[in-house]
Amino acid sequence: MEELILNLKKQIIEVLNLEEIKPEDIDENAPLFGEGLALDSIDALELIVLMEKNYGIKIKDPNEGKEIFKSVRVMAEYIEQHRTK
Amino acid sequence: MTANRVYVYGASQLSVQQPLSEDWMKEPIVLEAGYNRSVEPDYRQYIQPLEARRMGKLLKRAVVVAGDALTRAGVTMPDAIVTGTGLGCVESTEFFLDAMCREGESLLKPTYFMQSTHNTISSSLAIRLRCHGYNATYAHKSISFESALKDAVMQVEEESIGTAMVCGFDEVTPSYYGLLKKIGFLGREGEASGESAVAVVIGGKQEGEKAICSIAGLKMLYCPDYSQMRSAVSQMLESAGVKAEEVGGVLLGYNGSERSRVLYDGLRKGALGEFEPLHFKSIFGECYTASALAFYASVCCMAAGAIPEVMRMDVRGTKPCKSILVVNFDDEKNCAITLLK
Repeated sequence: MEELILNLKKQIIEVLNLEEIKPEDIDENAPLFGEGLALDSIDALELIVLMEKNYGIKIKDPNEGKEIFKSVRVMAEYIEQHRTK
Repeated sequence: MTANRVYVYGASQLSVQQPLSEDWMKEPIVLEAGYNRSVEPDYRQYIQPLEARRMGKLLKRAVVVAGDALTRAGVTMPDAIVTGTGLGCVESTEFFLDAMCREGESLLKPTYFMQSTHNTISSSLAIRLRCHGYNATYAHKSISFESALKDAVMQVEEESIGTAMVCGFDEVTPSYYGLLKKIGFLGREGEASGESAVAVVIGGKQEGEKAICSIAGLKMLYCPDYSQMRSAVSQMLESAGVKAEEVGGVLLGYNGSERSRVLYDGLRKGALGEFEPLHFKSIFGECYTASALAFYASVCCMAAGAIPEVMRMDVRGTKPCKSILVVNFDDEKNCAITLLK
């Protein structure tokens, strides 16, 4: 799980172009939206693409996305259960 | 009803010359023929990293140059933002299309898609400024900037708006330069390419002494012959109350290529013989909105009251400048004539 969390942080930094942020700067338990990284709706779209491209997970229901993207740890747990690649 | 006069309050540029500066008037960066990119400022001074992360190069340039032009003009919120761009954010378009070629039509990044539309720049400026006024983008090849300017000028004249920020933006990426070279738009022998990010703030009412000059004429003609051009210039000067001898010079699009030499030499002989020719593309390079840089350079001449030696083709030394013409006939079909006074 810890390895997956680290990889996920690196992928988030890359797809969201968070140039000045390092993996260790991201608290895996902190909210991704509103607080923490303060991501927005466009970032949510980028994360949906990331999930499908890297882990084969399709998120179709926006309400489902809200739960999955609560924090990096929640994302990692969801990925571990649902990944197809 | 007499139309309101339209004034220029401030102008700024990011280009192949020193950023946000008029140093080019005295010591321009020497351009080599071929491919040239803009000189970038330190964006961290102007844009927070979290904001900048979603911006391509051209968008960053647009944000910085727009902020600088507004500061120079002393305007915090324009009533309208009107932009001219030949190609929009080409870099983002390329990223988007590359991904599409690589991975098919699924799983494409939304940010690159959003930024690959021409009107992204103008709308992004509005979002950043929280400007809810008129917002439009003109993508009319080499007269994109003048089309945007005409729209804004007409609205100021009719008092629909008080102030407007008019912009001209274009970037040229290495791969796009290659494509433009293939179709013969850029890269001819002797020609230097460039990029433009220009913002100009115009307004209707002169507030104290802040206005640099007025836009005394702006006319676009389609496929004119020399006599039509000559007559358009004469009418423009007459209605602006400017005598031909008061015009400091005419900015023409000589870009170092044989094609532009033949084109503009013919134009000078046929229609503009009485005005001293001035050049700007040897300083700023060639791109679709190069005429935005010509307008900016003219505003700088008006602000300085003199035409610098670097712009003069035939005569050395500076020359007083009370009014100045810009004639853009780059594509040999659309002709735009602008007079500043």
